[in-house]
Amino acid sequence: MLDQAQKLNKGIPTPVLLMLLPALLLSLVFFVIPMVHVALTSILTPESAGQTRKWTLAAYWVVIQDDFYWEVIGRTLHIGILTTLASVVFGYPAALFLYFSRSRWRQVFLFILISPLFVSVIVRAYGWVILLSPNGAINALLPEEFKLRIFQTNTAIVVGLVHIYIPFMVLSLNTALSRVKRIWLLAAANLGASPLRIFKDILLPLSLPGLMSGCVIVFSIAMTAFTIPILLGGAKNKTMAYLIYQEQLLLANWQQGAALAVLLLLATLSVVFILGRVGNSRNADLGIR
Amino acid sequence: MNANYAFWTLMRRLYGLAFCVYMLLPLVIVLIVSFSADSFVQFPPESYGMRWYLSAMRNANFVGSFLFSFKIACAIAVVAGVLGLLSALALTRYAFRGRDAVIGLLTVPLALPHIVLAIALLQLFTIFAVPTSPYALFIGHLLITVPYVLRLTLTSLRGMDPQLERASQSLGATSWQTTRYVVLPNIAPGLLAGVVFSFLISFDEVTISLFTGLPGNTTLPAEIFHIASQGSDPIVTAVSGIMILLSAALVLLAEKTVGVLKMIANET
Repeated sequence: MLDQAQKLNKGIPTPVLLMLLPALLLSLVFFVIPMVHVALTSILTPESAGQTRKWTLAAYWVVIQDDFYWEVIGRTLHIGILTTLASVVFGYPAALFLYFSRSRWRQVFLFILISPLFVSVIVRAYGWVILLSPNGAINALLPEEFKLRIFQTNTAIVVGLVHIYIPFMVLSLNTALSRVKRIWLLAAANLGASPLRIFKDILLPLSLPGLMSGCVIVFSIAMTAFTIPILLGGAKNKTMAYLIYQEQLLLANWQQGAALAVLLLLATLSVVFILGRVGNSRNADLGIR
Repeated sequence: MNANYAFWTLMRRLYGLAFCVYMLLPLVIVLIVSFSADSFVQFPPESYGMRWYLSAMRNANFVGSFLFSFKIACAIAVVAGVLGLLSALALTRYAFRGRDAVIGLLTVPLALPHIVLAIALLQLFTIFAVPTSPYALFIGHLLITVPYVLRLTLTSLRGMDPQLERASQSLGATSWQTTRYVVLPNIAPGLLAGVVFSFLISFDEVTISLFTGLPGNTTLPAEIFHIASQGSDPIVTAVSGIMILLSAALVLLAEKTVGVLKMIANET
């Protein structure tokens, strides 16, 4: 009775509005306004005494003209794509392990997969610094002719990023796979399908939504990661996030910093959008939306 | 056939082992090296001791930023918990137009790069001449933690039997009594998980803290970043060791009380 009376009422009831108000205010004042402000900063001339601010695309023009920026954008995309691919290649078997395993090791595996998420990214990045640096822990154990030389390269960045983001991929796949009933696989095997065929025709298509959302998550955070690329890539392997840091904090160039932030956001969102479209159309083909 | 099966079993075990080693390696190495008593970071350490833990605890910068981080994380846990709970209750109690849009608006900061949020808050607070730390830092952490509390609480609320609330109301309980004695105990695990997450996310966050932190008013991860970006340093190793041990303690506690791991793995 009570429910119905309130549902008929078109407006939002006052208590509900009051309960939502704090979170909505937070979101409007400290999220929507700052984001709009950043977008405006990137297309307005800097504030200076006695001058009115004008519309300008100068900050974007700088990026388009300069090969250095293109190199950084290319490297950022490259790192995002490599990290996503590596997470799929190494994460899929882990998700299959979680799906098939019924031993007590399953819980242990899940714990080891998830618990690093609760340790600060900076600590894990620092762990990789100790491991990978030229006179680090791995090289201390390797003979002279096999020394690793990947510190301060893109490879080191990807190794660190995959470590941080692979749990998201595995969990996303795990969610999708958990909806696949084992009896379907048994039926297929019974009808003579090989393990490879079962994977290709049942597990892979049915886990595709999880795979796609895993890719979207990993790609978007790997593209915009900040700590790992700086600690493991060093100053000569700059990514977009590093340039934003440099322009905003070191050079105090707000307009350029804002423009780079907008570009990073656009680049990430467009790839996420494309991946989302691919995922959806494939799902539609298979009739499993 | 049998040999084939044995081969795949071996491969599966090797893979599982390699994966676990990869996941744990950076944490284990930090813990091992943190108990070194050498004057610089090397592996394997030549001598062991608590030397660097002691000097970390005597270092005013680390102690100060640790306390700052701890205070911020506690405040975030409380405020994000309250905001998330209030909005989750409001959003499930009544179906109103635009409800999905509100949920979308409240959770979208989660999907945005921290660096973009950080730069946006930094510029806004600077214009209004409000010190970015602790204010912008706190707001930034709040934006990325409220969505977790909201989502986990919403999931718990949706999993609740609607009959319970109706039964309570038909027995004459007021709306407040129903919420307090029927709804809250039922959604406590989800809410608690959200609060623990919020604490850890705030305590661990680097990027927003780095952009908005001010000298003397910055978090421990930002402080670690400043030193670690110059290379490895034994005192940073010890501080990192402390952070790992703290996280481990909190995760084990949360796992024992509400089963956080299953909640993350979406398994029931």
